[in-house]
Amino acid sequence: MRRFIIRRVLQSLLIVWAVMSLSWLLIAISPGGPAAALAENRRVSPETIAAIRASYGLDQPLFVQYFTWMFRVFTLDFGRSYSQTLPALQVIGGRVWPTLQLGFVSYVISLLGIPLGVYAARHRGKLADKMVRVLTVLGSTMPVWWFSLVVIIILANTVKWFPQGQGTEGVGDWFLHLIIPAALLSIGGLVAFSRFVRAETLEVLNQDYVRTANAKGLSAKQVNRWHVFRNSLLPVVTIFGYLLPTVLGGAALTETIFNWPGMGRLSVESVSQRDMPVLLALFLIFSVLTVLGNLIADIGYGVVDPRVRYE
Amino acid sequence: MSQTTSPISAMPGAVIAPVRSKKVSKSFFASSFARFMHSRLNVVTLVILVIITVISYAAPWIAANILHQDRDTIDFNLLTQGLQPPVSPGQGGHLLGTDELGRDLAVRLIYGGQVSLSVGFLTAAISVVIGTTLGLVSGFFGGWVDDLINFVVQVLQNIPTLFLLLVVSTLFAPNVLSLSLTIGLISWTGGARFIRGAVLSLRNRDYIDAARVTGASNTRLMGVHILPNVISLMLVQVGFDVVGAMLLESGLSFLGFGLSIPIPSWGNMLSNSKDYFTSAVWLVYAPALAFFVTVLCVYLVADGLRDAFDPRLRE
Repeated sequence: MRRFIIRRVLQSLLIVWAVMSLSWLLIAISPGGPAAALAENRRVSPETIAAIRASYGLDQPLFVQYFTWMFRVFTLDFGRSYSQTLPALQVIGGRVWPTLQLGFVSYVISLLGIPLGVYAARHRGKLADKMVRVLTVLGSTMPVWWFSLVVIIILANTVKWFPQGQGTEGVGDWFLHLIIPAALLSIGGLVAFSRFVRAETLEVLNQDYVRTANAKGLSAKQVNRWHVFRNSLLPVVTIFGYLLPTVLGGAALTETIFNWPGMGRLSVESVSQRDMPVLLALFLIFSVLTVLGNLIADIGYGVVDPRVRYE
Repeated sequence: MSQTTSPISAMPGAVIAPVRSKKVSKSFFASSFARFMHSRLNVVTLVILVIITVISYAAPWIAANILHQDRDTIDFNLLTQGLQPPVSPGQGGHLLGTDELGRDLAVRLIYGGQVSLSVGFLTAAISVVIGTTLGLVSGFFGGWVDDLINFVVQVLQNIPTLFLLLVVSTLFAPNVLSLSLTIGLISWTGGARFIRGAVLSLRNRDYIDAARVTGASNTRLMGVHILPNVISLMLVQVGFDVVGAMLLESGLSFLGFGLSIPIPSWGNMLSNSKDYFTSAVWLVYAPALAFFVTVLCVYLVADGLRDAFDPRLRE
């Protein structure tokens, strides 16, 4: 077990390094940068532009830039944001808490997919199952950004109000501003959970031990509680790892639509402004989160399922 | 030769041995297709999808011969008729009305379908070719090859797709080809894992050993003996890839990083329409309906195919 964890942690570090290098390379070769906008302006002399580029270290050869940058990342220094004269981490720092709120609440809402999936599996082929299927199909084929706009317009035309940014007037206002984007953001996870749990429950219902439990005269309630749920919910742990980056990364659209001051919107803004230091720091944060999610999922799976043995 | 593989023990994608009987038994694909067509929903969605595809790809012909309109031409005659764009459906000789610039909406809609479907199909093709090849190789050889490919898969899955696309879109102005290439190049990972899993269970089968003993090379084993058994998985994957690519394209358009104007796609028409929800609602309905119906049909066809191919669901 310990060897497995050590190996997985090392592997994860390697992955994070590869993600960082790849995104650095992509961003380094993409056009734009701190001096690009100024270069358009004729009154700015080439010397000034060269000086600005030099102050960000952009006059160095690529590989030198790469190693200086990598070295700095180890000391958690991502450089200064190009668009705001703040350190990149400080720019991101202000955005972390709103994203965590949104991500957490939407994750909790998407957990509703579990009872939905179990219910659909237990009533397979009946109306309830079909309804859940229609909902999941709609949820996975509708562009969520468009659906969010529709919701905004319906709200604006009926109650003359829709959530814009974070609520500032008390807890009730805060909650109202949070719950609508969170509910819309949770659609993907809700669909994933309910489909996954439905399939797993159907799989478990076909197992010999469920038949045995039924045959020895246990009530349906007992069979479901002790033999079906406990087993069908095991693999849900793995989906957690995949959902973590989806919830946070997918928030880019939702946060943009609802003007939510989070990291997703920041990522879109940084791309528009070619704010490389901020963008790279965001990439690192997301990839660390993803790797962590997968790690937790792998280890968690072994903890909840004793049949899994690590080499 | 009278191998008796019971349908229940057969693994996904495995060819079920034909039972000797007087009736000519159907091949795996023929019987799967029959099962697919057995469901009314599948038939309906497939027909709608084919119709939409045909109309979209016949866009230039339909525009010239039926609608008599151009994709990008602004209809200045509207002004002389006292109409102010966006013109509502049916007025000024425009079947579905015009957009805010006075361009025919119907024509833009079918051209947009061509673009959106092309992005979907092209992306799916690229992603499934890469995914299948790498999944096949990684499952078949195992060892360090498998480790290496797994590593690449994990690295790609660690970058949020939307972020990566946003960055890549700054490298070159997106057109159908570049957009499909970039989405395809990063979205093959799921398919590769899927195929790899199937290959892992196939490569130790007796028939593979038998082929190897008769001197088949690795390439032949993979191409002739394993590949046909994962084609069903590939087809299903293509369907879901098309859905994913079309949704991504629409999201990118909304953020302003999609296909550039004046090329219409359902994605950018949809995101364009967001300012006309109350003033010109036909600009919203037309692309939304077209987009949604198409994505829904692709999804349901893929879902139906998955069920039709699934040996566990066979009677």
